[in-house]
Amino acid sequence: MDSIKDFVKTYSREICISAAVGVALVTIIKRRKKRIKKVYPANTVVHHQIGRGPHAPSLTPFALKLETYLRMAKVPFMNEFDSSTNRSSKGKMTWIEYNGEEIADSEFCMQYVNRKFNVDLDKDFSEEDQAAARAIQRMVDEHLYWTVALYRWVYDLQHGIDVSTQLKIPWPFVRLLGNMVKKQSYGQGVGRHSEAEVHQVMEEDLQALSKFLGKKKFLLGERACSADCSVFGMLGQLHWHSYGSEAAKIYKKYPNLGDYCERMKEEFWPDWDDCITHGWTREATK
Amino acid sequence: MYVAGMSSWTWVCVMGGALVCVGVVTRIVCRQRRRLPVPRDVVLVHHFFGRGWKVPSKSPFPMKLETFLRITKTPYMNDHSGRMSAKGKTPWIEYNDTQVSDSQFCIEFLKKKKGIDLNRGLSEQQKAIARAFLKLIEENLYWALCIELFCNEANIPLLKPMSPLKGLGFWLYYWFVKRSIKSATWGHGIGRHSVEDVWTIAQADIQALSQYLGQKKYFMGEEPAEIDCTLFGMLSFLLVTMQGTRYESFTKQNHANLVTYFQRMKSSYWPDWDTLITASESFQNDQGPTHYSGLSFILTC
Repeated sequence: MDSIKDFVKTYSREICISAAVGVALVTIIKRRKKRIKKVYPANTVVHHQIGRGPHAPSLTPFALKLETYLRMAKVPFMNEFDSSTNRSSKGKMTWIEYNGEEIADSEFCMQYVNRKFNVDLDKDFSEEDQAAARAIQRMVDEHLYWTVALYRWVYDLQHGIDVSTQLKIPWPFVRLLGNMVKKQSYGQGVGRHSEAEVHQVMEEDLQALSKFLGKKKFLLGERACSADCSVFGMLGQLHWHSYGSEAAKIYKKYPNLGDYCERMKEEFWPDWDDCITHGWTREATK
Repeated sequence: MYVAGMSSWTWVCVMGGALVCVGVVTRIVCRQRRRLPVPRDVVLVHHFFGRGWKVPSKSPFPMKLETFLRITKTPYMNDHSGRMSAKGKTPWIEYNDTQVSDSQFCIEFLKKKKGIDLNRGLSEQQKAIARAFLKLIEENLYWALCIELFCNEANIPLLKPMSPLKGLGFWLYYWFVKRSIKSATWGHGIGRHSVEDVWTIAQADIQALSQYLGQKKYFMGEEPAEIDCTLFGMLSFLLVTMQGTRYESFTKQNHANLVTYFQRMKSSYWPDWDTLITASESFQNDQGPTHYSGLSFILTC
C-alpha cells in the first residue's frame, strides 16, 4: 500500500499525462469509428434499434411500433441492432436511415416513409376516425409510456422484481436507468405522482383503450391503421415483458387488449418466434 | 482583507446566504399567516401567480379547472398568492381541509365529493375518445405551445408586454423559464426536436382537434363534457396568450371552427372575462394579490 502511495507521489505528473493521453486516444478512436459510416443497400429502409427482446421482438415500445409499421406498409427494410451505441441525432434509440438520410423519432420516421413510398395507411378512414386515432397515439406514446417506464425501471425494483436478469441488463445500469426515468418523468409531469396515482392513471388509460377497441378487430375496425402500431408497441411491453408486476395485473383486467395483441402478432409477425430470444436462451435469427 | 478571522469574500458569501435564508423563511411564514378564510364546502382554488394580461390565467390548467367549476356551478374562491402544492404543481385546491394537486386529480376529487359528472351523457367509447384527446392536449400539444412561445426567439417581442418584469428582470425571467422548459421537454422527448419539427407535430394535433370537433356545439356533442374544459383552457393559451404567433394564425386560417368554438365557450362561461384580465380597464382583483415585481416578490408578504 505504502509503495503504491510512494509511486503515485513520485510519478504523479507522468500518471496525469498518461491519463490525459489515454482519454484523448479513446475519444479520437471512437470519433473515427463513427465517421466510417457503413454502406447499406440502396432504396432500403435501415431500421436502427437495440437488440431483440426475450419474449417480444423489442424491449422498447417504439422499435416494436416502427417495425410493425414497416411490415404493415410493406416497404423494403432491414434491421441493424446497433442503436445502444449508435444513437439517433436526438439521442434516442429508434431511428431509420434511407439512402444516407437519417431520421429520428418513430412518428417522423413513419411520416418520412409515407412520403418516400407514397403510403397512406389511414386514407380510407373518416376524418373523425383519423382524429380519434391520432389522439389515441398521443395518449399511448406521451402518457401511457411514462407509466410503463416508471413501473419497469422504478417500481418493479422496489417490489423486489429482478429486472436486471429479466431484461439482461447489468444491475448498476438498471439503477442508472431508474434514476434517469425518475428525472425525465418528473419534468414530464407523471413522475410527480405517487405510485398509487401512477397506478390509477395507467388503469384509466388502459380502460380507455379497452373501451375504444371494444369488440373490434383493430382500433378503427376491420383494417389496421398507423395508430395500431403505437398501441401494439406499448401493449406488447405489458403483454410480454411485465413478468407478473403490478402493471401486468392492471393490464390483465382488460382481456380484449390481450386478444388484440395476439391478433396483431398473427397478422404482422408470422415469423415472431425467429425474432425473439425465448427468454435469452438462444439468438434471434431475424 | 480579513475580519474576525474570515476573508471579505467569505463574509460576502455568508451574508448572501443568510439574506436568502431570511427571505425564504419570511415568505413561508407570511404565506402561512395569510391563509384565506374560506367557508366550508367552498373550493379554494390556488392559481398560478394571479390573473393574466389578456387571459384570466397565464397557464391553461387553472383555466381548465376554473371552467369546470363554472360549468358545474360549484361554489369556489380564488387565491392568487402563488403558493405551490406539495408536488410543486399548480393549480391545486383545498376543500374542507383536504389538499389536492394536479388539475385532473382535482376534477376527479370534486366529482366524487360533489356527485357531479359532466361525462354522464357520453357512451363508453366517447369517454375513451375524450380521454385520448385529453392526453393529446395536455401531454403533447401543451409542450409544443410552450416550446414555441419560450424557445422560438421570434416570439420574444410578444412576451415582453405580457411580463410585469422589464429590462434585466425580463431577461432573467425569460432565461429561467426557457431553461426549465428545455429541461422538462428534453426528458419528455418532444424537446429533442427542433422548433420547426415541433411546429409540424403541433399542426397535426390542432388538425386532429379541428377534425374531431367538426361543426358540433361542444367537443363531444350538444352538451359540454370535461374535455371541453381542457380544450377551452388550451385554446385560450393558443389563441389569446399566443396571439401573433404562427400557431395562432395557422389555427385561425385553417381551423376556424376551433376559433368559433372558443368564442362560444367564452361567452357562455366567461362573460366576465374583461374584468379578469390585467390589460383591461375594467379589471377587478377577484381575490389576493395579482401582481409582483422581481426580487420584492420573495420578500413581500
